[in-house]
Amino acid sequence: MTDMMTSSFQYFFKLVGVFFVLYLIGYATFLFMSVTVGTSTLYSARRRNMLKNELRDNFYVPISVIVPAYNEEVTIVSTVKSLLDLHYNIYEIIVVDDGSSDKTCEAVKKAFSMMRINRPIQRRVPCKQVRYVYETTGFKVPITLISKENGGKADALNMGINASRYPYFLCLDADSVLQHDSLEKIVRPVLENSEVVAVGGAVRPSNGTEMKGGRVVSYHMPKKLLPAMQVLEYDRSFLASRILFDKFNGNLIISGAFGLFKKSVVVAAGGYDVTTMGEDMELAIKLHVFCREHGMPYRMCYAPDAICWSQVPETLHDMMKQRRRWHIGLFQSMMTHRRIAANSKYGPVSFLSYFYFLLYELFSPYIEVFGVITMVIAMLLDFLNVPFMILFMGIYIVYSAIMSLTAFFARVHTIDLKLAVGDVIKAVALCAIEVSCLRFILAWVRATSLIGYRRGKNKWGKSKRKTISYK
Amino acid sequence: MGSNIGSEVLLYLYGTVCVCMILYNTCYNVILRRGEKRLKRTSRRLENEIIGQIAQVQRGGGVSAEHLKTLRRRLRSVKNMLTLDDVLTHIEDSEKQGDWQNSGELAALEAAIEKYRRAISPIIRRMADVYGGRDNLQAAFFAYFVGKHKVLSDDDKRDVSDAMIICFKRNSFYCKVNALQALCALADEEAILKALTIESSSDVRIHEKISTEILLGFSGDHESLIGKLWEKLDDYSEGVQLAVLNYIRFKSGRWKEEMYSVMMDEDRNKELRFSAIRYFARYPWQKAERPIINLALSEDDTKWEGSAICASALASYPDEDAVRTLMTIIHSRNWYVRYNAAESLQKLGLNYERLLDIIRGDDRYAREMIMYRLEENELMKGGEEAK
Repeated sequence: MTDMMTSSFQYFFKLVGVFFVLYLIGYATFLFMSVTVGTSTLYSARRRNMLKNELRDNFYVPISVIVPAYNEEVTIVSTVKSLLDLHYNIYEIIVVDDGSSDKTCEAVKKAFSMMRINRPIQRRVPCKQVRYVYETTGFKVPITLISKENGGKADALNMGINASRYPYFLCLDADSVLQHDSLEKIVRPVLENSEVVAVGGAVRPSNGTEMKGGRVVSYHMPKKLLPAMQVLEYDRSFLASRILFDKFNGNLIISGAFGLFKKSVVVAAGGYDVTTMGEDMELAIKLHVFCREHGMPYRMCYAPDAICWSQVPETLHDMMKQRRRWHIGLFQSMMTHRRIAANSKYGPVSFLSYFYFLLYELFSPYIEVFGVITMVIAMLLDFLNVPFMILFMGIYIVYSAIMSLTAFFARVHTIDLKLAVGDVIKAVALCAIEVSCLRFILAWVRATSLIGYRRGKNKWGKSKRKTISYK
Repeated sequence: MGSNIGSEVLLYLYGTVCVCMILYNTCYNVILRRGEKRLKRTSRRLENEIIGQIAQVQRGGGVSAEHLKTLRRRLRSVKNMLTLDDVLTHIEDSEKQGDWQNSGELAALEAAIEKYRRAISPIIRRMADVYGGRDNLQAAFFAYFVGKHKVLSDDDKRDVSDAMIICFKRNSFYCKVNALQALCALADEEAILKALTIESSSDVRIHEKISTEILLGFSGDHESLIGKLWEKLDDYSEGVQLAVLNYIRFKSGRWKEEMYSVMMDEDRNKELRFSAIRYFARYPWQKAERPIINLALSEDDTKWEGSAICASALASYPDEDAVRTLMTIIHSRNWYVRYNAAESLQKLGLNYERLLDIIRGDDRYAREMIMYRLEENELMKGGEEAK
């Protein structure tokens, strides 16, 4: 190799090195801040609740719980049963079947003895045609089942909004289960501050959890490694980044698995975008845009003690499909609302939240894959200080793993879950693998997700469901 | 060389952070666990002491001065206040749910508990000053304690009410909520009026639903409180006025003239007028029917909310005028007006024959609404039978 080529390569690798150091400093700083802010917020909230600085259950707003479903015959009945165990005064349950090809509708009709009814539904937000509506009033709260033409999850949610009676609606995944006090807790921010237009709850993997009467009776880390690693990942991201972003009203995601919204604002903003796969993120950003454009004082909050237990994929294949879908949704949402980038009208939502998601969520798989490739080339060209690189990666993995564990233990303590010693050892052992091996696999999946995405867009994606252990 | 040193510094920095986080996690968990165990031990000891004192009173003795002295000292710690709260709650729950052999046994226990409460009342009064000087969390907890447990004698209530007003003035949502609950539990009407005046000009607002719920928990004479609230209504902010009107709606049907004047006052905020209309849905009044009908029939699209609420209210007026009005407005352009009109016709018990004109008419939307209501009747009958 000529001297010029050698020095060009050296210069290139130096630039790449500087870029990655700055990139990782940024990420490490964000992770540190979010975990420390998150854990201290959780412990403060625990103390606050202990000292009865909380609203008790006689304060409420009526809520419509919307459960969009597509091929959920395995889990839908357990989900609806768990909703009947909620300690809440006024709410209704609306299951929207999005043209399932399995027996989702039949399962619900049979389990709850429903009757067909010709209910007029006002189309305030766009959605596909209704096929039929079933209702029952023989239970604690009214349950409605709407079967409609297939249009995707966002379309199903819009149908639920159109059919809902109450001023607030909650979107809940069909494979999820709420605790007896989840509604009471997710509603609190709305009662504390009338400017709140959306509240996100905390989603925890339910694999390994047994529930009875709306309470967790047994909690273990999932037996399989993949869902166990996702427990750590969920706690880190829900606890850490959401709480931090909440501090400056900068949350760009209200989880589609468990989120409460003020209906009038969502309807005025146009409802869910039926053309996107990441409908939860798209709606959250849309609400930011809508409220700011209209000069409406608003707040979008996160309620870390409002918990939803949701199934996570148990196979790598299912997990890869899920993450692919999430990344496409992220891309669509970021592109649809790209005008908020570097726009002073949006304040920290633009300069902090949007840029964080752009750099550390949307572009990160490409950056990480590029980093790995560059490292390999540098090693082959003998430009890499291998021992130093190994030390650097080791410190990075240990650092990320400790942050994950901090978030995990903070979670466990503040919601009073008892962990067996085996689960603690499992969590400690898996956290390093989760932040290294799994992360790079998922980086590759996300990096390739946009290839051919237009062909498969707006599909629900099939995941193997397990029955929910709910008594 | 420079960049190597820089990289090493970075590595050492993050390594140090890792070590600190491990130490933090370990220490915090150890401290947390120890703290919880200590709290449990202290709680058990205090609980046993209190139960012992109540048993002593039941045997004919009194609460010992030594115990009161200890309590005065220990209740300065919020952990011991928490314990006292738990103990009193446990005792109150046992009173309600206990397996009593006879009513005499229960009466004896209740008398003993009441005597214990009177004995500690001066101590709680003193704690009002102590917790009044603490942070918002502790001040709010003390207010919660006062609101929940009826431990204060009439003399002590006055002083504690003043402390609750001071607590209410804090810029803390939970101080306000818990203090207002405490004032309602103490049944201090003047203090409640003062609190609502403070609320009207406060930066930290209580949601009107919360205020209404708290007022509904007032432990004194509701009619007397309502009378005083009416006198001061216009001094309050619109949010507080709405909370008060909703409270009156849920509590008393004796204020029809006053509500009528709110309903007819076109300068009032529309939410207040809607609340008044809902009042007449709950307490039907002949004089109010005609204005409600007129508003329901309004074709002004900007007044659709009022028309929709009036359509609901007419369900409480089972006469021909109301029925004719509902059969007219079921053809409204507005979905909510049609929906509420159909619902009201269902509640008035109109059968299929009476509704034939609508069912066979040209208005598809009205027909759909009515058919849905008739089907719902069947559904509800089936639901009742199933139960």
